Order: sequence, then C-alpha cells, then structure tokens
Amino acid sequence: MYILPSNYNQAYNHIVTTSLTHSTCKLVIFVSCLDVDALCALRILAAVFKKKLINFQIVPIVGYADLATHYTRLDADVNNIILVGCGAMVDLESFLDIDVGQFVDATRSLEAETVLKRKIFVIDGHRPWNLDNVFGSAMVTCFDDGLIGDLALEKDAYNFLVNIDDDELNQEEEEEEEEEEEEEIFEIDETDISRKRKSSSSSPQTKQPKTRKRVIKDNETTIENYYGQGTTVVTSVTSQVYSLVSLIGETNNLDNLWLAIIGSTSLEHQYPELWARLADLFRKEVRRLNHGADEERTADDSRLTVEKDYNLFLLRHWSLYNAFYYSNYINSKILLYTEQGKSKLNKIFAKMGISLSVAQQLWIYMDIGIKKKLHNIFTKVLVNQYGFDSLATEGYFRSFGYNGSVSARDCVEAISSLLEHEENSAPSESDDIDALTAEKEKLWVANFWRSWDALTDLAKIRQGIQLALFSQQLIFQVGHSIIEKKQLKNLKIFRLVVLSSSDYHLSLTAKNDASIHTNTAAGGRKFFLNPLNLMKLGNWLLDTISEVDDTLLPLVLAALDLETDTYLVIGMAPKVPKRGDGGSAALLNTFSVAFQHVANTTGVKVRIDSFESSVIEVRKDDLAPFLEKLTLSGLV
Amino acid sequence: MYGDAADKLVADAKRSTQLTHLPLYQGELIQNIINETNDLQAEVEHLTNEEIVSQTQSQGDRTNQCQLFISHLAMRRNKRCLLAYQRYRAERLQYMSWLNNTTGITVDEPGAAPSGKAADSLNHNEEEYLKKYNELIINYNKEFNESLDLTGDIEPPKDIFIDVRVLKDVGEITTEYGVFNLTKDSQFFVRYNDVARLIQQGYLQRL
Amino acid sequence: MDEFNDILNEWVENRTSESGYNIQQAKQDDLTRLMQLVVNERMAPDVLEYEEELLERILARTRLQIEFIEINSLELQLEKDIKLQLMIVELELERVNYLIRTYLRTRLSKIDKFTVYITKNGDMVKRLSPSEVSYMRKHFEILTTLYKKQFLSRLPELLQLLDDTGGGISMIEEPDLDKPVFVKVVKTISHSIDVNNEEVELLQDGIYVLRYSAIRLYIMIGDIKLI
Repeated sequence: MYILPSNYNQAYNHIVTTSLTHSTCKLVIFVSCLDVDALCALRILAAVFKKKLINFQIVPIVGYADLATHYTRLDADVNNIILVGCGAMVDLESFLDIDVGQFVDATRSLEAETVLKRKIFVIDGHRPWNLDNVFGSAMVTCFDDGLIGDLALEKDAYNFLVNIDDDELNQEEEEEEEEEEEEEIFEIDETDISRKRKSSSSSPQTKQPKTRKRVIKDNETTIENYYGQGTTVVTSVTSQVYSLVSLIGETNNLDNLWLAIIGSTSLEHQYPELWARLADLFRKEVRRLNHGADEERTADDSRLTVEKDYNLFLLRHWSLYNAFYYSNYINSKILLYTEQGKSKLNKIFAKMGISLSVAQQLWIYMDIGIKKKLHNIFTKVLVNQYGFDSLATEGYFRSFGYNGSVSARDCVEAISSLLEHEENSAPSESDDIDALTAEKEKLWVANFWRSWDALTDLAKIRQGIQLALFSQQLIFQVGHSIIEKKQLKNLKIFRLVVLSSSDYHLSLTAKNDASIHTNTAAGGRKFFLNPLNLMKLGNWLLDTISEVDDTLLPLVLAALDLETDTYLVIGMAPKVPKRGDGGSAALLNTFSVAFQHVANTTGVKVRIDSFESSVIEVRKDDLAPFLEKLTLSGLV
Repeated sequence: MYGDAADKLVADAKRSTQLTHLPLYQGELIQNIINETNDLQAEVEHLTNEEIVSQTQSQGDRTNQCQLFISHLAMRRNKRCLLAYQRYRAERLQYMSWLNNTTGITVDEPGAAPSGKAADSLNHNEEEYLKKYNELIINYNKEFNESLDLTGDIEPPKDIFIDVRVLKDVGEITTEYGVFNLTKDSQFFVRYNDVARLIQQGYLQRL
Repeated sequence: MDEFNDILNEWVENRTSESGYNIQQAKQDDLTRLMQLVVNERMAPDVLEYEEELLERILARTRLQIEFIEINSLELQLEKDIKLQLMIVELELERVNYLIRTYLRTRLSKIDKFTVYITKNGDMVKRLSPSEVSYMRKHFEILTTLYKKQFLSRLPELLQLLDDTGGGISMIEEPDLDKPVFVKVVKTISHSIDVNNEEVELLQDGIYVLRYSAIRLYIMIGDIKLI
C-alpha cells in the first residue's frame, strides 16, 4: 500500500509506537550505500529516532542480493523495516520470500482488517513503482511522492488482473499468444527483479466472449507499458524525509534542511528539472529559517544562506582558471578538448579582464576586488556575449563559524568522492570472482561510513573535496582522450564507449597546481569500476555531446575489470542541452528494461544486482554478443 | 658487573609501560639474576667466615669489608629489581582483570586480532595468578548489587544511549539484555549498558 | 539539571509512601556525603574510614531503583510517558553507581599499595570493611605465592622476607602523610594550627594547600574538606 505525503506522520507514529523496547532492536533500516541522497536522508531519520530513544540498526547494502541475505538473517523480533533509496522497483514480498501469514497478529486482527506484526516501509525515488508493492501488499508501505494518484489507469488494470487470477484459476489453460510468465533463470545466482512482470499465468477462456479476452489483453498492455517506459528518479529521498520530519513538528532544524539540500543537489546533474522543482521549496525554507539571524559572524555560527553560485567546478577550492577548465558546462560549451577550445578559454579570460596569472591563483588568495566584480563580469561577458545562460544559478551555502563556509554543490562532490574513492587499492590475491566482488562491496560499505562521518565533519568534507578535484581531473583526461581517439562509437541506436584498460593515471600537466596530492593517484587503478565514477564520466560525455550533436542518443559505457574479467556496463539516457530556464524534460532511461530483456533472451552471463537497474556486469567474452543483441532488440 | 642483569630486567619493565601488551616473561634473565645472587651469598658467607677467622682490623681487611658490604647491597638490589619487575607485571595483570580481560591477551586496537605472541607472554605462574585474582574480584563483586559491576572502565557515565558500529560479523549474539544481530559494518543505536561488554570484547566500536 | 531534579523529586514523592520533606532531604544529603567521600578518598594519601552505614543505605535504594526499572520496562509498550521517567531514573542510577564504584576501587587500590603497612598497623585495619580485609588477605596471599614460585624461594634465605628493612631501604611502603592537599574550610578552626613551626589561621570558606598530616584530624571530623 502507499501513503500520501500528508500522512507521512502516521507511518512515523506507527514505527515509534511499535519499536519501543527496553533492549534489542525492533527497527532495522536498510540503505543503499552508493547513493548520496539516501545517505543524507538516513542521517535525518537517524537523528529523529535518536531523539525518541528508539533502538535501531542501520545496515548499508550494495544490491538486491545483499538485501535478501540480510533480510533472512533478521531476527523474529524485528517489527519495522525501512528501506531507504531502494526497494521501489522490486516486488518485495516475493523477492524476499515473505510469508505474510506468518506475521498476522491474531490477537489484534479484526474481521475486515488484519493487523500485521511486521511492516516494511519503502522510501525510494526510483520509478516505475512495482505495482505489487503499491497496490497489492498489506505489509509493504510505499511513501508516495504525490504521483501515485496519477496511476489510476494502472491501478485499475492491476486490480483487474489480480482479481481474474482468483476467478479463473481453475479454468482450463488454452494456448494463446498471451504472454506467459517468464521464469528468469540466470547462470550465476542473481536477483529476480523481473518477477515484477508477473502477469496472470492462466490464460483466459476461449469460451468467454472475445471482449473479455480483449479487456484482459488491454489491461496487460497497460501494465507492460507502464513497466516498459524506462526508469527515472522523480523525487529526492531526502526531501521526502524532510517533509516527514516537518510533519512531526521539527520545523526549525537547520541541520535537517542542510542535509535535505545536499541530498537533493546530488540529483541535479542527472535530473535538472527535479532539482528546479525542489529548489523553490528550499529557497522558501531557507528564508523562513533565517528570519532574524543577525549579520555578525560568530564562532558558533552555522548559517544557511542562498547566494549566487556558478556552474563552475568547485570554484572556491582551487583557482578560477581550473574551475573553468574542469567545469562540465564550460567544457561542453566551448569544446575544451580541442586546441581551439583551449585558446578560446584564454580569450574569454582576456575579455573578462582577468589576467591568466590572477586566474590561476588559488581562489582564497585572489584579489578581493575581482571577486566582488565577478558577478558583473560574468553577466556582461559570459552570458551576454557568449550565451552561457546557465552559468549563474543560486547556491546554498553553510557557514561554520570561523572555519569558513561551503556550498551544497561542493559538499555533494566531496561526499560522492568519499563514496567512490578506494583507500588502498592493493591488488587482491584471490582469483575467485565471488570473493573479489565481495571485497569490492565491503569497500563500498566502508566508504559509506566514511561519508556518514563526513556529513558532520568539515575537515573530512575538505578531504573529500580534494578527492573530488582529483576525480574530476581524471575524468576530464579520460574524456578528452576518448573523444580525441574517437573511442566514442555511434551505433545509430546508441553511443558506446568501452574502457578496456582499467589502469588510469592522472598525468599532471602544467595547469594542475600543487593543490592535488599525488599520492591519491593510486585511485586510478580501479577508478571506473565504481558505478558512480563511470556515471560521472557518462555525464561528462553526454554534456559534451549534447552541445555538439543534436541527435539524442543514449549512451552505453563499459569498463573492464581485469581481475574478474567482467565488464561493468551502464546505460544512460541522453541529455537535452542546458537552457537558461533550467528546464528540460528528463528522458527516461530505458536500459533497465532492455538489459533485462537481452539477458533473458540470449542467456549471456550477466549480473543485475544494483539498485540502479541500468547498471549491470557482463562477462568479458559475452560483451560483444550482448551489445549486438542490445542493438537488435529495439528496446533502446 | 653485579647488577647488570638486574638493570636489563628493570629496563624491560620500563619499556613495557609503553606497550599495550605484556612482553614475554624473562625467565632466563631472572634465572641469571638468581644465580648471581646465590653466588653473592656464597661469597658473603665465605667472606664472613674469613672475617671471623682472621679477626684483624687492619687495612688489608678493609677490602674484605668493602666487598662484604657491596655484596650485601648488590644482593638486596637484585632482590628489589626482581620484585619490582614481578610486581609491575602483576599490576598489569590486575589491571587486565579489572577490564574483564581474563585471557591475558591484549590487542592494540579494537577489533584487531590478538597477536599470537601476546598469548604466551605469560609465565604459567602468572597465568595462575591472573586466574586467582579474577576469582577474587568476582567474589568481592558478589557482595554488592548486581548492577554495580565494579569492573570495567572507570569513566564517568555520559550517555545512556550510544552509537556503535559492528566490527566483526558474528551473527546473533544473545546477551542478558536481548538478542543482537551483529552484521559487520552495520550501526546500532542502543543502550550503553547493554553493549558495554561487547565493546570491551572488541565486537563493537563506540563512536 | 534543575528540571531533571524536579521530575525526579516528583516521581520519588509519588512513589514513597512516607510523607515529609525530611526523607527527601535525608536522601539528598546521603548523596552529597557520598560525593564528598569519593573526593576525600581520592585525594587523601591514606585509607579513610569505611562508611558502612551510608553505603548500605545507598545500596538498598539502588536496589529498589533497579526493580522499578525492570518492572516498568516490560510494560513499555503500553504507556509511552514512562519512557522519559525511566530514562532519568536510569541516568541517576548510573551516576550513583559510578560514585560507589569509584569509592570502592580507589580504596582497593590504596589497600593494594600499602598492604604490608596496613597489616602491621592495627589502626588502619579497623578502617577497612570486612570484605576489604578479606580481599587484602587473599590478594596478599596470591601475590606472595607468585613471588615465591617465580624466584623468591630460590634466593638465599636471608632475602626471602617481604618486609625486609635491611640494607638501608625499607620494603614496607608507607602512605606519605605529609603529602600536600587542597582543602576548603567548612567551619573556622578556633585556634591557628601549627605547620612546620609556622602558624596558619584557617578561616571559613578559605581554600588552602597544606600538608595532609596537619589537618588530618579536622578532615575526620568534617570541619575541613578535601577538594
């Protein structure tokens, strides 16, 4: 079932009342560990539960298989389970093998309404919803973002199909062209995500009038279309949690608002219109909470302000020149990967009246006069003369007393670097794929806790920023070489990039100043085996392409892991170029459906485990046939 | 020189104040010191006999008296060093006992595996002592309320509830307060009392 | 802090059937006295008198508290309000336990240090509780067994004693009663005391640093307290 945003507090109350215990935990929270949004949301939730002195356990998980394993280990006392950042797209009851009857509280159930001892709550922004979770389960409660109301058609279709299941179970089965339930069997032990597509196994009677068959077929088509439209993210989990805490009365908490902003900002790159929507709300909140704050800066000050910000990469943490050079936006606009692009950049600086030597100073040492005039200079030169409409936006800044201030975007970069960056990338000794994957996943979980700690520690955020600087440079370098060496293949239906060497080292050129610590260069080895990094590269390429080429083709990236001989493959929806008004319809990512389909029909060895279903792993030898089938499948 | 071995022993004790684990029991060194002391004793007896026999107080015998004096002092010094060494180790064992470490194995960091050498750094007499001292504490504890566990860290209590992270994957642990499902890298928000023992044993890390 | 005290007092009043402010005050006084005892014990170089009755009273009360907590925690699901009360009771219990623990363990550590001296000194033995005496004896026993087995038995006979005073250095460790301590005067001492041939006047609420030996007696009576 689902609950409306205005009723979030009911779920909260339920959780609080049923989780009180003197010892042991009755509340377990599973969270996706490669997701900045989920991390921030979790932080807010944890703080809220702590205030109520409720015991709980947090388990970060890397994929659906992990979720299943941990779920089975749960002890019978656990009353409430919350899934943050995952779970929306999978039929949880069947995936986790839940016997609902086991949890019926006989003493408190009434005739019409059964009371369950255990409940699962799903707070996730991934769509499409699995309709079993939303309409069909009494145990699973989904946090609606307001859009479930629009699914009236699908709801009717779903209910209809569920009902005929009961009616016609005893009828004869006829051979029809109806879809049969496909039992996906993977070679390696995998998740069974596609069970969401369970349609009624029994075919309708031929004895029934044709209209009945037609009706059933129509309903099934509705459902299929719903699932087939492609995946996207429609809301940030953090903003949902923020609404929840506002409903229960915590309306003046700056920390929560800050976390909500960080979580939502993390979705800005890929889903700009989502961010635009949320930005309105956040702006209002910040104004409301800042009411009456004084102007003086004190040591304990932790103010949250809205100020002008620019689409330049980590502007305040290295030099102006670098911020321009490494900004996705600027890069795509003036094609920095070409020689002309580079000289164009120099010309831009000349036009702005900022000498190159000044531009290459670290931001904190830069002339204050120039800093103050910067906005005007930008407007005059960049926006008016060059047409960089989306350069100036607004940003949220948090100040930490005398320690300085940091913007939400910078924080997002810092935290996602902390999530991505491997501490010690020593080659592991094992040869077994499973062991290697397990090691990799352990690392992701450890990184999760590192980022968790960083959310309250400015020093760690600064570390993260350093890592982010490094990552961005590496991505640029790799991106440039991909375009120069024409490794970006246009396969008419989508574009493809294959990274065959997993060994990438950042070559320091004269432009990169000493603010980068070279001992982090070790991160190059397995850099692109982390889906977040690969996605960043994808984003960069998409940004670049969108300015150059009008054809909107999705992008597939594959990165080779030499140790396990598998490719990490991700599919990304194309991007419409950034316009000044900040709006562009998000194109849906149809790869999840496509990948599933290809995997089923060809029997290639794949592993679909991640919460983002457009991220999969393919065996090295199977990549070519896989891609071929993908092209031919027509689902992209 | 007399007392060199004892010096080494004391230096060892001094060095172990900086270590988190007790180093190996210096059985050989101690045996040397004992031998030295016994030799000194023999010499003392010999010299004393000579004194009694000769009964002269001339200058020549000053060396004898000197030697006698020094031997006495050296013996006593050896004894003090031995006792100091042993007493220091005994105190460390007591300290361990109070921290509920009944095996004598200490680790450098929470969650780290105990290094093999630490396990047999205790002489078996010392192990006996540890065991008996432990019993002594348990008996003493019995005199008071159950909740008043005299062992453990003596730090003023700060929070009733704390955040802990799980360091080892050990599945379900049943304590007297309830069942905890310890999955590695999960985080709990629980009552401090319930998990204090688990923290001491290295399963959990306090944040 | 005040709010906590208020809630605590309210709760206690509801619970106890005995009426009257006096009982409340007495309990509060007991706790204050326990805190002072802990400070004294930690600061003083020798072992002070064991306050048996006080401890017994406090221990009895903590037992009641524990019962209260246990009874109520089972009913947690039914009444939400009690959670906060329970929290406060637990917090206070932790604090009191901490005080008792510190008191007892400080005493034990001093006993361990001065074992030989105490056994030779009938006065001091009287200051220990029976369980402390038995602890001391037993501990001494196992310690000497350890020494004997490790090396003492192999040394020449002359050296085998543990209270050896030969060779110019005594093996018996004595508490240093001349150690300087910080004190605060509770009640003015009528006559000035003599410290090292100097006269010092002790005024009320004054804070001084003096040798322990000089003011020992006053501490025992309570006219001066250690800080």
